[in-house]
Amino acid sequence: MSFVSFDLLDNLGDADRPVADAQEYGVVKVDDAGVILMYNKYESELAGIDSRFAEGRNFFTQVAPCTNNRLFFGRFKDGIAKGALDAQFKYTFTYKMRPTPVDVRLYRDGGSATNWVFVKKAA
Amino acid sequence: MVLSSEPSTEGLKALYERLVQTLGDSSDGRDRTAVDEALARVQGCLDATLRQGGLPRDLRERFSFSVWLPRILQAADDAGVDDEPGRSNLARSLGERLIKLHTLADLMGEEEDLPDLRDHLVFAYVEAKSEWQQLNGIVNYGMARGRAPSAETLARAVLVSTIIADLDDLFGTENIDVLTDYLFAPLPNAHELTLRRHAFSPA
Repeated sequence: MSFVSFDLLDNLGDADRPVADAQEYGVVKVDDAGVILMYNKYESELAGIDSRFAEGRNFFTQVAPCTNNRLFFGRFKDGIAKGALDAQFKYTFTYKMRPTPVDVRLYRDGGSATNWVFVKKAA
Repeated sequence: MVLSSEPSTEGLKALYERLVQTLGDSSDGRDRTAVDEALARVQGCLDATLRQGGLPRDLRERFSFSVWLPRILQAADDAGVDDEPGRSNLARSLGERLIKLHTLADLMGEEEDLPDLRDHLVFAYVEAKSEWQQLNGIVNYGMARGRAPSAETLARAVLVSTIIADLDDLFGTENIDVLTDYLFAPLPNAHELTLRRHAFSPA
């Protein structure tokens, strides 16, 4: 069962900052190379990184370098190459924060041609 | 172990020469000048930061064991390192890094030593980031393979990343971005760097 609401998934093309900030999980919109277009409040608080600092930087290499491996960034790149991405898995963040197990969902919305990284602290 | 696909030194040289020829006229002297200017600028910024920080005294304080002991104990608690040997191992492994940074700061305290001190801080940064990448691999590949990481590994990953955070403060965003970009794919980047150096070298 995904932690991402169906309502959000159905309307990603219209998901602006207020919508993203209202979610109780991390919502990160990235381009095909991984450059952050939108970094919501939850993710900002979880990672301790200001949205203004994060946006415009590469999520996988500059903002969350712990994701720079085949398990995470590799899945993203594979999905982008195929034009279809929907992968959910568990991960642990250890970069400049206490060990934090999280659930992750990587998603590409075909309708709006946008890419998303959703993150929620594991229960 | 030598990988079967690893080219010999001579083979690499020949490969570079072919690639440089392929690059052809795109690598002219103006590019080299721009690279030199950019490098001088960011190194100048780092040197200024180091001077303003009152190094080496600042470095000694920043990485003193008295500053780090509470962090080590907190990381051990957060990760669940409860046993005394585990906590001692953690303190010892971090202590070795701290002693190294202290010793460098002691030995390179003169103004004319600054370029060397800067380089050694870069070594320390790359070392810390490389170690953290390995620990991150152990943690997350372990999880993916159903082998949960040890509490000590988790605590060590957090502490090494905290050292990185402290060094981040010294280096500044521009230098950090460049080093991070390099470490994103060190082998291809090292090859490309060498290739560019060959391309820029006068005939």
